Amino acid sequence: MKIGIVKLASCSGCQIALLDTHEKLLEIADKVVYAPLIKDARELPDCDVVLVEGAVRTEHELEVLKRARERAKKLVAFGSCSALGGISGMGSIYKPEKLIEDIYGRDLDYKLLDFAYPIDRFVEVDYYLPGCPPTPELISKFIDGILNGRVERHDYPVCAECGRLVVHTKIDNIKKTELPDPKVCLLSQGYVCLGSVTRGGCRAICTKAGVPCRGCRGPTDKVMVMPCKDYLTELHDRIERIAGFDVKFNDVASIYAFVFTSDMMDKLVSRIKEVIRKGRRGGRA
Amino acid sequence: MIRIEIDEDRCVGCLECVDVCPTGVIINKNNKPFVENAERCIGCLSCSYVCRADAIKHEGIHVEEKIVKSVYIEEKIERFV
Repeated sequence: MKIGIVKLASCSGCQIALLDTHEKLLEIADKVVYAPLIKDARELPDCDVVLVEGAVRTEHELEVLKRARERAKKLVAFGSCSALGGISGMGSIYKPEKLIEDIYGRDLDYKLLDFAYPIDRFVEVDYYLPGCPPTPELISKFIDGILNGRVERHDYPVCAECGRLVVHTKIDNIKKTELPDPKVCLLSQGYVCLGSVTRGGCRAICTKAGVPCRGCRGPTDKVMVMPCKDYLTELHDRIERIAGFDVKFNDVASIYAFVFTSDMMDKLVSRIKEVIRKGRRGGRA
Repeated sequence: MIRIEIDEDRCVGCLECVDVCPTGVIINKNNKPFVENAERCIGCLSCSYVCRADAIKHEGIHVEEKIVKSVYIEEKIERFV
């Protein structure tokens, strides 16, 4: 079993999370053959599993990604940036020329792509492991799963792991700064917590500590399968129905930020037509 | 017959399912949802839709939730860990 780690446009936080896996690291470290942060190897050899961290921002990164796909038996989108766009995807708000001018003040030798894309725009991905970063526990469980050939999915939202209980109250305004009650649901206290629409598996570490969920693991299966609605509308509708107070679009926008450039954002009914058309061309009646 | 199962570990006690059930299958028992007359269930899946913790599971239903999934999304969704 050989594991390679490829870094694209990202903060290296996911690799650091991998180093945080305690005893599990002893097992993993033997198997890692290529990782710019950990190992000395210069070139990516043929690997069983390649973890790709970060979004695709430059043409160089696109080449690196394509090479990684050729060398890998299984390609894993590791972290929110590569799976959904994540924080790197936020750079897509500005034009590439403006970004280069503001940051470098001169022309660059290489070209930026129009957007910071998640990697599934260009290559096929076998597994997505979103999270900003994915918790060390999640990573070690995932690598165990890949070794055994059975990867456990987390199709439930963060609420299922949180353990705070809902109390029906009337809320006048959204809270942001005060300390929350440790046993009552954050939404029923007036904090905009995105736990009910965010994929679980992180053991709800933020909400257990009293910090409202920001939605770093992206939307759950339930939100994804809703037809005719984009993420933001669906998230807003759900949060507002559950919370019982006026929630503005901007308040739920933090999960939107993590899935900003994912092509699942513009999932529409027209996608279904596309698939049907493809099927027809394939010769089926 | 449709069977409804409520996962008590996941349930956060918001009782949205009790409010939304059109036939009164799910009732409020000591501030927890409780399935009483499962034979009255019409399989609208409203309770499953409103549940924030994804704690309600239906069995023996012929119109699966899957019918609303787009083919493109479904291919992808299985790969999310």
